[in-house]
Amino acid sequence: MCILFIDDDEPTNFLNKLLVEEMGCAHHVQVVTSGMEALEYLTGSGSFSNGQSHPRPDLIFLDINMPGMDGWEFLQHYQKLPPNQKANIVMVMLTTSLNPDDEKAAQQNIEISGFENKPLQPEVIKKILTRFFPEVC
Amino acid sequence: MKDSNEILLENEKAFKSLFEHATISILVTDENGDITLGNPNAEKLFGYTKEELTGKPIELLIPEPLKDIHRKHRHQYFKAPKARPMGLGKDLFARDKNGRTFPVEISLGYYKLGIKKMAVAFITDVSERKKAEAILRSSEETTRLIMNSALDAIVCIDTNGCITVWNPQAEKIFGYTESEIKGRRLSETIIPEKYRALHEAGLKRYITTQEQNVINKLIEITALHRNGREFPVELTIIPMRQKDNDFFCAFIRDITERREAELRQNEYAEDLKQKNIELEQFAYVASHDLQEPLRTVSGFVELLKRHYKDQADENVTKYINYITDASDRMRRLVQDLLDYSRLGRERILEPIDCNKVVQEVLSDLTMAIQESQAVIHLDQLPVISGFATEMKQLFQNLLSNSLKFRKPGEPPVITITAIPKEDHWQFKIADNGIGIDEKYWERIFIIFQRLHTKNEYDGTGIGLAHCKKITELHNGKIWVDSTPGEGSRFYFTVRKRSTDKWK
Repeated sequence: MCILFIDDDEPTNFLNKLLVEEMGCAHHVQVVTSGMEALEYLTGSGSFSNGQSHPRPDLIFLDINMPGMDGWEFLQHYQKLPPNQKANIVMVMLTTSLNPDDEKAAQQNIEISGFENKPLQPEVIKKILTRFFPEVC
Repeated sequence: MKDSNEILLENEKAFKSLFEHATISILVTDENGDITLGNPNAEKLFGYTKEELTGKPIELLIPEPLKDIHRKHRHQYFKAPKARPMGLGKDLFARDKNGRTFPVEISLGYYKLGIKKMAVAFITDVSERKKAEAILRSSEETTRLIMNSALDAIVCIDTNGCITVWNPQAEKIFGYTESEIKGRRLSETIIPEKYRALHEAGLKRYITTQEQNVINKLIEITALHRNGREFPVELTIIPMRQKDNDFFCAFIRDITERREAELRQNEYAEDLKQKNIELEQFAYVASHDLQEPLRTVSGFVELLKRHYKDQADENVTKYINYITDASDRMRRLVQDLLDYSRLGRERILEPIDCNKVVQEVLSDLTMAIQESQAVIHLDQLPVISGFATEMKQLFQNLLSNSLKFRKPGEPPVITITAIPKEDHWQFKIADNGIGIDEKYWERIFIIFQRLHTKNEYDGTGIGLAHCKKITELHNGKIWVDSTPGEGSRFYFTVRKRSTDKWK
């Protein structure tokens, strides 16, 4: 089980990583601070092109409001990735956004499996795992 | 006693004189229609001499197409000759020596000379009168056309207040047809009851004393439709005089729609003003109230830091730093929001020498300029009218952005120029920095929108939002044009005012 967090806020990433590690439900937790870095991670390019193999994430938590490439723009690029770089990935939007339009847009996006508000709670992670990864629990 | 010969002679002399001096043209023909006599005025009218006329058929003086019919009528006439006007209401035409055809009026007389029947024609050239009539008819036609197609209702009343003129547009806006309202009193028809006495009194006063307060100016009053509906009109009353008759003409326009539009517009404007006040208030109060709990957090974090300075493990220090950073950032965001909402709150328009403003800004930025070894090219800038603090902030934000988003390892080169346009100044601040991808050219002006993570470039994302608000306060716009990797060109405009001058 590999989880990827995409969020520009470092303390948020720290807390999320800590939470998942404490729950012990993932063998690898990757944190990136921008959509661009996430794409590099998924495609093994840029700062992740050092030849080492990086575990492909099973679950991605994506922040909407990020500087430069935001969550939505990331999804546009993500959709264009070759299938072997995105197959079977569960994408959950994780946001502080109180904007109902965002939630509606998330529901309409086929790449997005869930829409959750920050801060991330253990119950939410459990719920997602039970739904999408019953074999892990 | 004169004898009969003498009398005859005198009569002949008298008639001869009449004939010679008559201002009317006289022609005498015999039964065959041959001219036997013509007076000098006839010679003048037709252009022939007496000699040329005598013995010629009268048809010499008739236009070609009418000759035959004239001959026929002539024969008829001599069957039962009597004095009468000729033509019986038809238009008659004659022809002179030059071939000119002209309208005439003719009276016919008749006498016997022995056994010969003689006809006398008294001919008047009516060209001038016909022309005048045609002009009059055409002018009446013009008047009618104007009246019918006027967008204004045109209503005239006589000095008794009775309606004499009522055009189609008046029918349309008041609901009365011309035939049913002509002759009725204005005050009993289209003037609402409450104004009737006033109208009557005003009319009376004007007629007796020429005193008035409504004539010859645009006034707005309430009118009454036939169906009882009152509606606003705008009108001008003009006193007129025609052949000693005084009357008054009113040009009236239904302004119901305009009034409603004005009302709606005022409501919108008021609404918008209220919304803006609320929004300003909201941002102000919200950011003010957000500061409060923030101070508490910061205060207690400071306390924690101090108290557990020595005992804290690595993790605790890290957590505390996160809290400190986050609350610092929050404080900056709230402060920015507060500044944004206050921007241009108490603004006084004054002349601003942009050269001076930029110099001040550059001097404030001395450290950053020296550190980055920036080169600044400064064009001659105008004196504008604007809001001093805000203008300074605008230049400050744009220039510090150009310094901040420079390419690593390359000294920034910044050029500041301004060009006059028809009704505004257009400023340009160009740099050789990292540039901005086209897809972000609009987003960068939205409050708290950033293109870089905090680790790459510091900031809250308020700067360009401020700039946008400031240019809008100056009735201007701001936009960017950029080549990523090569540099950006920020443009903004400031509306020119009469006090501006190129310095």
